[in-house]
Amino acid sequence: MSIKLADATFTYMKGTPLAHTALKNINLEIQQGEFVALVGHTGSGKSTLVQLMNGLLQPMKGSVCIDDIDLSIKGQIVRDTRKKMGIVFQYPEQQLFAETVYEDVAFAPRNKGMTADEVDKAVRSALRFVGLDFDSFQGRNPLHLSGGQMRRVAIAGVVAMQPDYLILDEPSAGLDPKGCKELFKSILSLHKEKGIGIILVTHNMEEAAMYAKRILVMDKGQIAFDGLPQELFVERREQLLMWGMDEPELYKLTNMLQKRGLQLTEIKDINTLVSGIKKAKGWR
Amino acid sequence: MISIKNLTHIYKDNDGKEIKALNGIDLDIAEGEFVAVIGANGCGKSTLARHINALLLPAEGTVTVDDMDTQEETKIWEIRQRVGMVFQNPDNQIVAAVVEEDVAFGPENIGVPGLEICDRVSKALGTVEMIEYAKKAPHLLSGGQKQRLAIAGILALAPKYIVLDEPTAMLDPKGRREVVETVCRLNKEKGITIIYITHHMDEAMLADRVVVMNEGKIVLQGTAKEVFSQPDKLAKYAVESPLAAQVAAKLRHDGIKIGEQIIGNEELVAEICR
Repeated sequence: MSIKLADATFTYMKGTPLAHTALKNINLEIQQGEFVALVGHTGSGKSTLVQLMNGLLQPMKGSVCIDDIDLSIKGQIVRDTRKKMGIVFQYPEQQLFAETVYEDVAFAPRNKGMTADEVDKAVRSALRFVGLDFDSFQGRNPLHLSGGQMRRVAIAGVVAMQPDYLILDEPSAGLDPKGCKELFKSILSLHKEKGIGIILVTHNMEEAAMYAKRILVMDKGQIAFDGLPQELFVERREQLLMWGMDEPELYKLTNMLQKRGLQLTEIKDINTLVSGIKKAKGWR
Repeated sequence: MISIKNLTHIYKDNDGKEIKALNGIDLDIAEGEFVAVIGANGCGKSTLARHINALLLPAEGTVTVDDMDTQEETKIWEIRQRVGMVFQNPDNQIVAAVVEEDVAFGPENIGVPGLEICDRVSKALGTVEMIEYAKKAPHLLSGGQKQRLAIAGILALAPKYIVLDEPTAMLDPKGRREVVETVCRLNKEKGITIIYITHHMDEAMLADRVVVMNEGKIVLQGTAKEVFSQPDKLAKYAVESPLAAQVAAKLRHDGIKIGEQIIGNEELVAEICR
């Protein structure tokens, strides 16, 4: 069970003077159980890659397969396969349209052909997963909720489709730190409890470092890095800046302390950093 | 000077209940200041910003810009020329198909003579370092370039004050740096007063004064050092302190002697490695 791109190439406005190759010969496999962060500066090809993954765009060359089904062929099996891919675009709350939270979240499962009972179950479970209480929210107008709540309703709408893979494009942009934490709690529980593969597209390196187990860096339409967060933020930090990315604060601070001779190992979060500092300095 | 006195803003929610988005705000902003406004979603930051150039009008209290009351209808256009605004989404602020025409839109509208428009446009584009893009199409620019274009459009109106409402929320790290550097330069070199709304604490740290809002009120303000060195208090308002301030607070909590006002990485490292 995986998303697999083989030699995928995509060119915008092909055959015109404005032709622009957004992706060049991408080879990539993402397993269903993974939590992957996709980072890269604006124009590096992240959005194009994401749109190839759920068949919104077709590669000019090469192939994209979801669970071994090639998305370029036609027929029911491809339509079914595409439904395995949930995608939450940037600012998804701008896509809310129904009069109640329930109706909005129920839209996709109904379109998928579920029975009324199944739809009801899917809506309840999706709202629970995004941390919204069913009874107090289901009858409310989604357009009158707070920004963070609206975003969670929008994500619930995609989760209710019961996808096997979930692509999130900048899900935390514009949310305050508390809203971000709650949102990522929901995303992590989807990943851990339901085994949904997560592809997180983000400019925020703190998020990528904290949640993803694998990081892909896009640069000039190619995958410039594919590996563990520690490897990227520790061993490849100079290139990271060259690719237009930022260093997460935790790694930046750790690195500065190490340069001053502090022995710090296995720094995962602020708590391990604080206890690491105390240990290195012999403070109790 | 911008002077806000007992400002209250009321809106009705869907049940017809009155909610105070702003509840008795008192705030004076002096000329040349760089003020950052932070706080959780829904705390009233953006509502406050929209009061400063009369996009919204007070239910109670007053907002005056250089002694002009925003509630005086005859003053609205003068106020809006002095207070420029930049919003979160650059795509919503661009009106023309060519960069220089987009910058010219504002001065054209207020009847600036043709030759002076050319002069203002090239100066504005120079200030945001976008001269080489003057003839380009805005939709081909990066996010950071689009935001700088939006700022140039404001500069062409020669404002005294610029209010920026989360101008970097949609940008990549490089775009963020470009916009932040531009804003700092406007403040330091051109003396333009900046009111900067953000969720990014590293950006707020650059301001002369940080104002923290919660539920329509100002709950804390001071220099970045004074504000961010209180991570526990900020957490109550759903605001996160910079990592160095959090680490310093945790170390202090564990009984280790660390200076009270440490918020930056460099000073924390220096303090630890004394």
